Amino acid sequence: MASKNSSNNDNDEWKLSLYELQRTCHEVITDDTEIEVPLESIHKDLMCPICLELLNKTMATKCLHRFCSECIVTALRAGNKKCPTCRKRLISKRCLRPDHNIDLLISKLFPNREEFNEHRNKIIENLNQSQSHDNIVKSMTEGLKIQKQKRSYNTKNKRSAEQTKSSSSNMLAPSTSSQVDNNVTESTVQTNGTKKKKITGLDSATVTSNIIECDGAFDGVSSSDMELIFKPHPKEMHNNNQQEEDSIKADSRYIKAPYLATVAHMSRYLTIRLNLVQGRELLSDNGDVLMYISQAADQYVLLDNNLTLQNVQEKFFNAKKEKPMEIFYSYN
Amino acid sequence: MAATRRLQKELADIRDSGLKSFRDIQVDETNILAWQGLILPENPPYNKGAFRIEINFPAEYPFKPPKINFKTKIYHPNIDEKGQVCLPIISAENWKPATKADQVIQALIALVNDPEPEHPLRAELAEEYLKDRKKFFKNAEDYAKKFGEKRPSD
Repeated sequence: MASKNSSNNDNDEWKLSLYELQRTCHEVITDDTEIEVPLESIHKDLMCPICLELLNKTMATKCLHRFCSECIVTALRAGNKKCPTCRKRLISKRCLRPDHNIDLLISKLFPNREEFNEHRNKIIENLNQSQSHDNIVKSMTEGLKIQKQKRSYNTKNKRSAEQTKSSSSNMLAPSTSSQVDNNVTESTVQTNGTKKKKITGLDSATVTSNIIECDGAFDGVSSSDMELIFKPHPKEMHNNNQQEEDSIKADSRYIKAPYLATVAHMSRYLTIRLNLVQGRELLSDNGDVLMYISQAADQYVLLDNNLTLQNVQEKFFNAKKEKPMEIFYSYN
Repeated sequence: MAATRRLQKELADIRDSGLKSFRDIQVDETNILAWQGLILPENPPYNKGAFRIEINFPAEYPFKPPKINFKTKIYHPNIDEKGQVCLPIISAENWKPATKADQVIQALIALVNDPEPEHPLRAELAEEYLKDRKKFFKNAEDYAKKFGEKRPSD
């Protein structure tokens, strides 16, 4: 022993490294302090180098490398008759031995292995998603769209005029025949909505509302549209029952319509929309919906069906022209 | 399918590790088998530019090695005009399924930093590298400045 020690000294094997010279001693643990080792760090040591997951039905090679049974069998079948870790020759499955101790160890350390895997996968997914270039670009373009929509609320005249044209042809069929099944109408509106969403990027409420029925006469003339907001009439609508009230609460509709559209057009449009929301024929087509405009606080003037939007604007809305005109509606 | 799962993990690990010398990793969401990234060598003469590479994993990954291609022109004895690299770790006879993509990338960066003229793909560059190091450095630097991408500042 002594001679061995001295020879070791000759070879400087007992010299302390720089780190060992610097470091302070660890206190010996005498009480029942527990040191927690994060599962993640153990996970690395019990990981299959092929699938990078916890070993599943561990198989050991004669070179003492471990793999999931499935992974190593696939590897051998793939043609490389070699250990995936060290490239030692591995002729067939028969060179492998199941390593039950490792399986037991894993099941003790990771009793909720499925949960652990799921948790890890979720982290990975989040990480990949948040860092994905495509997603950044996507969220940026979406943000830009929203900004644009808010900024240039007033500048989409030409394009939306065209859309109104195309949509009116789609919409006229269901709107004129009051007996059409509601489901069918709904789906028409939805496809319409999505189609246009691609073009303008407006939010769906706005887009669907672009579908203002505009009879053939308007198509040629409507060079520009005006913007409106439909709101439920605060007084009249109170008489309705609670359920309907709820569905209407959020029902401020942002509308774009040709200047030459009349109040009658508006109310017919609203009739269709409201019927769709209710999912049944709540209102009939002949003027159940009444339109008002606010003159002073708490004063609402009923609009005549024959007025065009332009008339209404000139008559009632001169002062606040820069804002979208607000029109209130009510029905019984 | 196995390839996809493993690559998702590897990609997350690499992104998580925040490698300075390999960054801007772009992966098509519909095809995780194709990666692109920017290599930032530290050693002169290649530290004057950034080089875009493409890593293509076969569907049989990890049982078959990935392929690496340079999209950016580089003046290097081990990388040819088409962007093909001679990297022993991913050659068919050396490949081990236990090798991870980040090891491949590290090996590639090491090769770019320190060319191996003993196993050249472009013999004339290897010769220049061995006989006239100054001229080689100048050429390589000019190439890096001319064709290389801008290095991200941070």
